[in-house]
Amino acid sequence: MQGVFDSTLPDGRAPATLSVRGGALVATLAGEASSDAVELALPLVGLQLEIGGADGHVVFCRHPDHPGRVLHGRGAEMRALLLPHVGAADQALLERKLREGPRSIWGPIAGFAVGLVLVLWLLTRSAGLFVGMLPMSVDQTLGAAAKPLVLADATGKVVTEPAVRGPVDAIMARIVASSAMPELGYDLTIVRSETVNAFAMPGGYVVVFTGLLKQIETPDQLAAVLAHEWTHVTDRHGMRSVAQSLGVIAVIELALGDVTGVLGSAVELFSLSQVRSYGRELEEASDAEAVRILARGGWDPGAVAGFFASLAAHSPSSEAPEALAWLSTHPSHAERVAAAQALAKRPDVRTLRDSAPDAPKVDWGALRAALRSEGEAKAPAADAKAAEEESR
Amino acid sequence: MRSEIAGKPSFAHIKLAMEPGETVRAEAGAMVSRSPQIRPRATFNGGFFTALLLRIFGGESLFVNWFTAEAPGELVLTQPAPGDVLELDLKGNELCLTEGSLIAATAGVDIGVAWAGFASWIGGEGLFRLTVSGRGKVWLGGFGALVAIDVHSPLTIDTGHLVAYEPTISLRTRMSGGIFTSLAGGEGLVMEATGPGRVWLQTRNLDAFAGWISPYLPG
Repeated sequence: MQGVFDSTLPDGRAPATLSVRGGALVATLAGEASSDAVELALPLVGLQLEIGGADGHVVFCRHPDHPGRVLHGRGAEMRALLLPHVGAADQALLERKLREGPRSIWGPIAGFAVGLVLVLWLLTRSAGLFVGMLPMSVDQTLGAAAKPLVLADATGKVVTEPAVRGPVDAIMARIVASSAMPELGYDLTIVRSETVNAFAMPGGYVVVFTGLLKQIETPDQLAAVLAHEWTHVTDRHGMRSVAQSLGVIAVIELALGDVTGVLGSAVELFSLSQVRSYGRELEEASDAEAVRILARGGWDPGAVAGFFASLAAHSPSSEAPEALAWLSTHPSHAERVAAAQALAKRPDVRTLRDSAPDAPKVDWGALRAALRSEGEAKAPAADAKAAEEESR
Repeated sequence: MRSEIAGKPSFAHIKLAMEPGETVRAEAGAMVSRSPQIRPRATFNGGFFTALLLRIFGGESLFVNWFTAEAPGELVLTQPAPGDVLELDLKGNELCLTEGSLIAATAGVDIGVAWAGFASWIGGEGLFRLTVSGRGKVWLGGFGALVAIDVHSPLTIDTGHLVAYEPTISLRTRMSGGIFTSLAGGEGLVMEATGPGRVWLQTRNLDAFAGWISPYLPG
């Protein structure tokens, strides 16, 4: 793309073809016929070069004897045309600025994509670090706001019966006391539903469904599930998910007390079930910590692996897909069970277990009986509906 | 092809009297009306990848319409924004366009995407810019009136006002003053255009208009 600016031209500018002839740089303007061709020239001696333009590869040629006249062309073409005819300084300028042709756009596009991936990766990596700098009160604000939304369907289904709540409460209290945050208060809700699930929200809000309680065989296994979920709270996995999904900026706003927009999105995000699964790495970290909590709390540390095995064995996968809710967010695979088993047998874990007080005494038989009688008392239709709602 | 821009400047639209065999390429959705003898044909905007590139980085539509006259007829084209339309003749020269300003072009005009740089991105004009070259007519649309300015000494342009510029123009993004002036003066970042060459500006800024109108929107 070559051209000329000149005050004598009708529009002050025209496309032109540049050439070097008779000691001058000549711009030939295409006319209607070849005889109409107009030529505008600048002497090569005293020619002033400047490089700029939209892509940084346009060479502007000026001469002090012809003010208001600028001949311009671009890139390699211009370099080839001018290089033999200009002084050493200008040669160096052309060599330096026009070494590459106009940039291909694929490089920047690839760079942009790589940059985006890098930023996302960094954000994922830094989320844990970043969340660690926030006060725990942010988690509590989020959890408190999320709880009513998450439990919106559970109205009238919250179990307060002491025979059920008592044992779960006692186990939960010991887990908290044996965890990394013994001073953090917990908020336990037991919901009457066939869904085999339990989850924890940031700030210590723990929800357990009776469907899960019915499938659990021993207090140690219940402790295993609750310890796993409680670790999501103390290790702030929920906050990490929020930080990753909404961006670190959103979490800063949350920390600064914006409880409208950002909190709303965070709560909404959290109430979507997929956020209750934290990905393989964090789930395995929770398993490992759950094993230690069990040992410190006086339970059998092998119950983490045992629970997976019993849940998989009990799941009537074909007839009741909602029964798989916990499994679906906590995929149980051989490696995971094996890792939990191996950890439970480690000497340091055994030492923890040996120096631990006895596990809290709970009336497990009363809990089982209460759950059984509840199942019989409830109308099957309502039961199915509840299960359907929960599985959504 | 005879062309007329009617409804200037607020509601400008392009009326084209087309002769048999003439073809115009228009952005998807640009058509207002056409005679029956003008046949539309939708294609990807270039090849599939070029179309994707133009869509993502050039702010153009994924598909374009090609209107070909089989017999003399009239085609009317417009743009989404209330504002002026500019007709430019390309005679082998090139023009750089900002996102969304192209409405239509005649068949001899080549459309491409070029790297514009991070400065342009920060200045709100996109990482990539659209270039038109070749021979023929192009129609550009803007929000408000369109003004052409010949740049001799560096010209400061508020972001969001640039519509098109000649490739001899170099653009830099910078703060409009010191930190305080930049933030308090409502100018923030500005572009600085250095010539020689010509720039076309729109006298209204869509972002500013959106900000101005948003308090009145329900919800």
